[in-house]
This record gives sequence, structure tokens and C-alpha cells, in this order.
Amino acid sequence: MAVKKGQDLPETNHVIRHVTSGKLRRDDARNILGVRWDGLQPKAHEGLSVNWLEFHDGAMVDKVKAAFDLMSSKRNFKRGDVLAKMNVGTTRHAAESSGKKIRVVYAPIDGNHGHAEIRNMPSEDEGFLDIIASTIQVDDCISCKPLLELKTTIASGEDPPIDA
Amino acid sequence: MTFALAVKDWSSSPLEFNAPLLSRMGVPTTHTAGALASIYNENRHHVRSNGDTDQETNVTSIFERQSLAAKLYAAKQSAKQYASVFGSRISQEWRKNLFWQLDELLSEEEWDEDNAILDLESWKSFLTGMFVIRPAKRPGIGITENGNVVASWGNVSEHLDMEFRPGNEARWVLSAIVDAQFERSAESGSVLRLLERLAPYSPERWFGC
Repeated sequence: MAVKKGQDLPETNHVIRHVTSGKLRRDDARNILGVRWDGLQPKAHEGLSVNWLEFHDGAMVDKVKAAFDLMSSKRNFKRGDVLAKMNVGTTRHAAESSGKKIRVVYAPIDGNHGHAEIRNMPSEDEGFLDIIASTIQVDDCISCKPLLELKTTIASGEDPPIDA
Repeated sequence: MTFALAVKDWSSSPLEFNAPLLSRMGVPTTHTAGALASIYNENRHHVRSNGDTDQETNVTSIFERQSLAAKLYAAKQSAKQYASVFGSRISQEWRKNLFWQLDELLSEEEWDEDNAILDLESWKSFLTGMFVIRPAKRPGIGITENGNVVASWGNVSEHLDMEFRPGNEARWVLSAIVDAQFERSAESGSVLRLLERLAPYSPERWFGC
């Protein structure tokens, strides 16, 4: 982990974004079809808050669990929410294809040292945000439900399921 | 049944001061507002049977001042009531599906506290839009941070997300392959002219009709 605060993350790395249930594209059976543009809408004049997965060691599943634990200190997750996994390079290239240059930078904060930001995301440009959201495939939408259940199991002192 | 009496008392004093009355009704005083809302729902016909609609109105306003659960409950009831009135134009099966989606969206366990509660005027625009489009493929619905209904069709590459705003206005973001080219658009307009506005994108790809 040679990246310092404020530096761009490597193109091969990944970040995850907490997307609440109401901002997911779903079919009429509530199956997830993707992330809507407003799931990636930053607050005005702010970067989009994400967590850097390669900040953590281990397999991808371990990175996600570790990132989820860090994010939990700042965010209130619900079972219907997802962690949307985004490849840094894919995200940058999608932005460039529509003439915009974004930066994905390491931006640690108190209580969440794996925090990162996607900067220069125009908060009111639905079309652009939709292009970025379209890079997130259904398989990239990681359900928060098992992560919450695992956390509850561990907090209760029970042994977690082997496959968790 | 003393529920109507309890309702009357609720309208004159805060819920937490009605513990003795709730206790007489057999309602544990540890119940959440959500549980109380369910009890109200189960006993709603008793209130109606008294013919006192003012009491029912009072109950609604009290609930709106109560917890998040009660607000969500009130929003769901209002939306379902309106859909039922409007609903002769929507099949019973679809209405059932919409109510189920509403229940999922507006459940206390899943609600994001930062969001505004469902805006009934947006819901009305949505229902009008569905009457205009008459989609064979029914949309999944969501709610924006400001409480507007969003209807979604399609997949990651070809999709249509339509936000319904109060006053029969809509804002949509779409992605479609037209003449072997990816086209994207973000536009807004009247719900009444949706089909004309979407015609260049062959909307049957989303609506199935």
C-alpha cells in the first residue's frame, strides 16, 4: 500500500460505494438490475464517498468484509442496501469517454482509514452519473444482508457459519 | 371494542400518556409505533363502524406526528387508498404488485432516515404515467431522496429510469442502442406526453408494448 493521502488509486484497484435500497434499479419482483444514477450522486461540491478495497489484505471477500466493518462506524446499513464495487480504471475511462476527467483518490478520515473519494463528479449531471452507474454490473452489487448477519453473529458471540 | 375510545384519547394527549388505556386494551405498553399502527390497521373497521370519520382523521394526524414507523404507515395507506380509487384502470394483479413494492420500499427496517417520505403528489403522477404508457412490462419502483417515485425498466445497458414529480411532471434518464449506436438522454416533460417524447427510442424495448 504505497498510496498516500490525496494520491490517485491504481487503475487495477477497486472501490465500493454504499448504495441504499431505494437507489437501486429493480424489476417488479424487486430483483436488483443495477444502480441508478442517484446512487452515485455526491453532495454538491463534495467528492463521492467510497472505500478503497485494496487498502485491505486478503482475498476479495476478506477485503469487502474489512471495508464494510470500517464503513459501519460511519454509516447505517440496511439489509436491502448494497456495496457497489467499481473498478478504478473502468470508472475513469467511462468518465473520459464523455469528456470529463475524474480522480479516484485516497482520502482517509477519522474512524475509516480506508476511505477514498471520487472527485470532480458533477452532482447535477444525471446523464454523466448514469454513464458511471452503467459500469456497475449486477454481479458488482454486493448485498449488505449477509454482512450484517455476520456482524450480528459475531457480536452475539456465536460461531459464524463456515461459509460466511 | 374500546379501540375507538382509545383513538379518541390518543387525539387529546400524547401516545405515551395512554399507557393505562392501552393496557386495558391488552396492548403491551412496550409496543413500538409500528406495532401500534398495525393494531390500528387491524381495528380500523371498528372506527369506521362508529361512523365517526373525524376520529379516523385524528388518528392519521396523530400518527404523522409520531415516529418514523407511523409516518411510513400513513404514507403507504394514503398511496394505496389513492391507487385503489384510481385503480379501476390498473389490473388487480398489478395493483397487488404495486402495494407489495410499496410495503417493501416503505418498511421501517429498510427505510433510509435521510430520505423524505413518499410524496403523494408524485405517486399520483406515477399512476397517471402508468395509465398513459400502459406498459406490458411492469416497472420496479424506488423513491428518491426527496420522496418522488422512480419507475425503472430495462437492464444495465438499455434502461429507463423515470422520476415522477408532483403536477404530472417527469424527469427521465435513458440508455438505448439505436441504429447500432449507444444513445443516452436525460430529459423532462409532461407525463401526458411521455409516449411521444420517448418514441425516437422505440420505448417498446422497455415497456414491452
